[in-house]
Amino acid sequence: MRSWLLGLCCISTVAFAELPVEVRDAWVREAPPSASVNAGYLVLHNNSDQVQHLQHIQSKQFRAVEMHETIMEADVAKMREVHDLAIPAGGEVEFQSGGYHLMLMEPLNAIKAGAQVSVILHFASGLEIPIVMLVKKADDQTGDQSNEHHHHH
Amino acid sequence: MNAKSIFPVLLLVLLIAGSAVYWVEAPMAPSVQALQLKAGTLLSQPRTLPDVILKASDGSDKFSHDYAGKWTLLFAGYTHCPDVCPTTMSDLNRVSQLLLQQGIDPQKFRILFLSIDPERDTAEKLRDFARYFNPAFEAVTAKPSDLEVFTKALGVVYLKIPADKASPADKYVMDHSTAVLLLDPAFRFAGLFSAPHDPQAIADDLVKILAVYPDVKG
Repeated sequence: MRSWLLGLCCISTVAFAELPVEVRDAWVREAPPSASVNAGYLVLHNNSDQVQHLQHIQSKQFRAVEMHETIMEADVAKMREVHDLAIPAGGEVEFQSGGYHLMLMEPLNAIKAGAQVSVILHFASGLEIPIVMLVKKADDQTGDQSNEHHHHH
Repeated sequence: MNAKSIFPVLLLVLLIAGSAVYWVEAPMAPSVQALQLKAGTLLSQPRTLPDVILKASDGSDKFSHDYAGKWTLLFAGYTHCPDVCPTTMSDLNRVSQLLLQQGIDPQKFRILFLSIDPERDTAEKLRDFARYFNPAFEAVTAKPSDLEVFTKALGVVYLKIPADKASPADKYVMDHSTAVLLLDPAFRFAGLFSAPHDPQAIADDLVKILAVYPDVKG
């Protein structure tokens, strides 16, 4: 029941003041049928007065979940695993294409647009936040943040 | 026919051959260079590409010059790439839609995905990947030695980065160039669009380029 409520809070983007870290705009990109990896994006807001370290992510729907960062160097994209993501006190970290993303690897069942992915975020402080991420096609234009990268120009 | 009468004929032949060479090696028309492009950069001199064997997603072997005859937007990536490649392929799908909306003949251009991961990207995987974004998209890879020659000519770089030691050998990521490359209908490297990609700006640029350079034959 508790996790269900927390999940609901995250998809409805209502801030619970008592939660040290607030999660919003969580979504998973539907992958081509050939791919064995889905990318996931979200925004983490730290409501607390101390740094929060996201260190581990779990989902029963995937064999493994990692955090990665795409680093652009002279027009070359380099993807590196991140083991500890610090969210500054009162600050925010936005996962987005070309930056931080979740690597959801080897889905146990095919993940199609419209499906939901349940994930638990584990922080160094012991904080655990279960969230629900909606699976969407990347070029789905239905009012979301998934096309954020188009707005940088 | 004596030597005297053969001379003007010879001269004429040389002249024709010379102008043919000039036509093939000619820089892009000045009008193309003068275009005010929003997203793209054109090479002052289109670069002829080495003719290597490309492995098409239908399983067939093709020479790279088999892809002449259309403008080609080429993006080099790999199908296991979860972030940059799907984003770019979605952007290219948008470019393709915008070009069609602006009345560009679909026979005049193609989107070509070049896999820089021939080790894992089989013809079937390439086909599934490209078609997922747009049924008209094409995909190729090449054997490592050909791939090296071909990408070098395009200024595309890539590097295999193994995962940690505990992971299986086929778990690795690739560093790779993110530019979308423009090849002219003679399948020469003509220009590029650097990331981050703006589909509207790319489509607008292509409409301009095709308008002043409409009928190059491969």
